[in-house]
Amino acid sequence: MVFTSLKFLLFITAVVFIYFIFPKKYRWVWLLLSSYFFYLSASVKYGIFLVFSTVITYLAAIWIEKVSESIDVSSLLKDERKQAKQLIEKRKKLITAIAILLNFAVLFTIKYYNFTVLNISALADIFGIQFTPAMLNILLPVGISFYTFQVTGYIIDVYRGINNAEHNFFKYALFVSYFPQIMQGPIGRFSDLSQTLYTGHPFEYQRMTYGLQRMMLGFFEKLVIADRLAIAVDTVWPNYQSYGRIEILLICLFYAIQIYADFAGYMDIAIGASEIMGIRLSENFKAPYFSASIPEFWRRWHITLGSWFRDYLFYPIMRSGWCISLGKKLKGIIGKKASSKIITVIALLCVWFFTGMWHGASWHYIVWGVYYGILIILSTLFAPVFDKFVQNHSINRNNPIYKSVQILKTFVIVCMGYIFFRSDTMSQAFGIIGRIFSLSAPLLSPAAIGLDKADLIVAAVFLILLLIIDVFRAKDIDIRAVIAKKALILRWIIYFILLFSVIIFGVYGPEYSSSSFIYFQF
Amino acid sequence: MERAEIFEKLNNVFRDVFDDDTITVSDNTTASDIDGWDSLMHITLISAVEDEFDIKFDMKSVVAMKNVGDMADIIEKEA
Repeated sequence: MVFTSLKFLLFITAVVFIYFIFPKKYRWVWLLLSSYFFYLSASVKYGIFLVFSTVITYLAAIWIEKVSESIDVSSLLKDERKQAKQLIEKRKKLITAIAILLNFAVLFTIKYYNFTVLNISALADIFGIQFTPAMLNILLPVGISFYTFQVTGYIIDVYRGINNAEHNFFKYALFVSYFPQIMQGPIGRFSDLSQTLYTGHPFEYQRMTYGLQRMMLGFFEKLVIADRLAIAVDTVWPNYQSYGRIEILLICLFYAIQIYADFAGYMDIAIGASEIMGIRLSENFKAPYFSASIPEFWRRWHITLGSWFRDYLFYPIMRSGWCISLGKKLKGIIGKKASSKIITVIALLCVWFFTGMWHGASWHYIVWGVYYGILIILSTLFAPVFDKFVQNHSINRNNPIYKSVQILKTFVIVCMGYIFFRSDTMSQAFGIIGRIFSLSAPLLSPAAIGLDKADLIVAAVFLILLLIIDVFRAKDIDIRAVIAKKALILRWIIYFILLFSVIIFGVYGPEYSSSSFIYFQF
Repeated sequence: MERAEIFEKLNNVFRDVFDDDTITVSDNTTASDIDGWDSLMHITLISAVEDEFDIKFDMKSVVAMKNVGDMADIIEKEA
């Protein structure tokens, strides 16, 4: 059930209506039923994987808690206490590792098995060993990358003592399956969601209007902007050889806007739908294209994925025993600062390799991830040199021109990254880059890009609207509160413009069906 | 260790790590108050604080620490 389908509109209306007539105490039960209905309507088969992940992590978390309470350390002597603590820690670690391994084994088999064996056979071929690996033919269950990360975060948080294990299985099942976020995030934390998911929230008029407005904005971003630009992107990208340099550059720009409007649009619908029922989801974007540097971009783009990798991969690598001992060894040879830099580089490369891989089992995603890893490493290594340069030349970092140049630079780097992200293969990505830099490529070619002049004007006009909205988002101002203060007539004019722009200018397929979201495939 | 002494030492660690002699931290200082306090610097800072006070933060503290006050609380308990 795609968020932008009529089916979903009917579904969400029914869910919200019944939510508020359900007894407050059991409203979460209704959410659980709705969430499973929503998920299983995609495919009943996929439900098996979801239930498996839920059961494994539910049991493991309770087990971890039981192990922690199994020995009363306060009654022991100092030495015994230390030993007992170590034993508990060891057992907790083992349970956590098994739970994570089981979850990732499923994800790996379904998503990465074919990719891995194909690469192994290609590598073996170089050494003259030839074999044809058996391939798995399983469709990727929707949302598996998202909920696997969410349950992994949960189990690690229980292990770290950040939150307690949830003992009510059905409440935990809702945390994993909550319908607005299961398909493509935001990847939630139990400590946040448990505060808001199980309380029966009363109906509030303002919350409903704010939620509806946010959903409307999401529909607008997805249907009017993303799906319109997608027509051009899908026309040019696979046939890049027929296009000139200008069109290729234009299409990279279009894709940057498309993917943002697509993904942020989804988030606005998810967060808005949830808000109507009083449930707060984490924000996933904060006007990312206004970032002045790549590290900043990643703090504002797909925020919940970035913070997941930070808390559950980057920090553990940096704090791991082998990293610390490697750091100590290197310290004696190359000094403290250089050794800590080497450790950071290793950790960053790991994080970005896996960030790329998370998006899909294909080299072009991995290269896209490592591209960011290298950029962030370079920006970290050269930050002191750059700071000195800025200081020596008395450059004012708050100067609007300086800031604009930084924002533009970051945006161009992000657009270049998308060439790897959007391409189906590495050779296509290099083909597109080659086309941009090739001297023989014409600047403009007569080949149509799939959009007529009217479409381009519509896209440009609405893009300005999106830019204005993002200016508010960048400044942490809730645009809905600003509009709410305006005169009644003006307010409704704005709402109607938004509503009718979605109806009139939205890109729909046959029978008002719309295309699915980009992040559904991950 | 007295809290005032902890903060005095913390000020020195922060000034050294962020290379800024004007930094003075308080209970309510958060990452957004100090230029450059991102996830990379957070780990460097954590190690520097550990070395200074001869303690070890667990992962819960590393991740869940909300401000310098939280950090000082842990130091007070551990050191």
